[in-house]
Amino acid sequence: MEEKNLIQGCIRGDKSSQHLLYKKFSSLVYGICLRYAKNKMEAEDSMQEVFVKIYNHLKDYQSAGSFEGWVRRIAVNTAITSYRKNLKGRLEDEIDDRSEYATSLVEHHDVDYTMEELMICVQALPDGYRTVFNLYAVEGYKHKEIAEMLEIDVNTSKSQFSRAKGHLQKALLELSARKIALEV
Amino acid sequence: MENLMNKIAGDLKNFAPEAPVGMEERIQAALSKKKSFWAFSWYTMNVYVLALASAGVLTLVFSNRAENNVVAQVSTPLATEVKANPAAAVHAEENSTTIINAVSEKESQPIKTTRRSKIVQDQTSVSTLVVENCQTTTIVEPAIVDVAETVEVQKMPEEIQVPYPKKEVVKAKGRSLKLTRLTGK
Repeated sequence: MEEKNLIQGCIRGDKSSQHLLYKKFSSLVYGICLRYAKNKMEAEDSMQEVFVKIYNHLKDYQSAGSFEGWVRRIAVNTAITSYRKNLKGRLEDEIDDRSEYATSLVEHHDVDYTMEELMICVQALPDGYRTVFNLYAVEGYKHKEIAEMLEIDVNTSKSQFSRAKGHLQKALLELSARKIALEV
Repeated sequence: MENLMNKIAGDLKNFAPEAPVGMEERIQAALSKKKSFWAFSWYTMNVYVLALASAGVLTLVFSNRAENNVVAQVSTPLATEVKANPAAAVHAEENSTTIINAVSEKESQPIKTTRRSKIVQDQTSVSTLVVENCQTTTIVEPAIVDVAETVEVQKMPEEIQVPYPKKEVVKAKGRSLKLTRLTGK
């Protein structure tokens, strides 16, 4: 079925069209939700919310851009909204461990990891770091845009990204070291 | 470092794991739950009808209560009037002694007729008349003294002209007397 027909079917409330749409985009949406969430449960909740939004706002979609891009944007926006909702608690978490990571940036070309391991490392990041890291490194937003989206200062966005990189690097190094130790 | 970050970013962007089992059903359930509020159903229709009916009843009840308040407010002066009646009765009780029609008595005196009218409390008629020695004399109807409600007061002219007495100086004729002291000066 063509994407246009699929969308029209979903707007009419056709169950088979909704099923096809889900099959087509569930992996993409779940991947995004996992990146922004703290754990799988949170990711599943977020995914449910994203699909409900998609089905309810399909009539608002204008076929100017790609449909995949539209779905991706809804998923990211849902994650941002969720982050904003719990902003207060998250800031406290981040203040606690600021001094901990003044990691020296070492060149690591040969860090080996699986996607599950990488996802665990990303999810272990403090919420603010993880959100900024995803928005900057993965989605490609600029720090100014991120600052506006998250209602934070541009410098905060920059420092959070820098710290996120440090955290992630350290976590991946530890993971590699453990693997090497196991091999030996 | 940048290479590592680019690699991580690329991997994360293309990361598309399989969605957990039962997720689609969960989404459909959430979707139908959200829809059901606005979608037409007899159940929700009944709820709306009940809500409208109860709102109507409440409006009626409150509007009636407001009307009663208005009637009560209007009837308050009437109640005051009713209360005023016993006061008048008390006043009548005070004057309930036999009232002698003095005027008619005066008129009947020359022919030795005494006529007494007695107004009993709460009775406006003069049926209970005590008539004495009425066999030889003609009955004189009790004179009704009309009391003018309005009394006309004639205004007197404010300025009263009083003739001013003329001063007449009468000169004494003859020698004028000069009063001197007894000292002889």
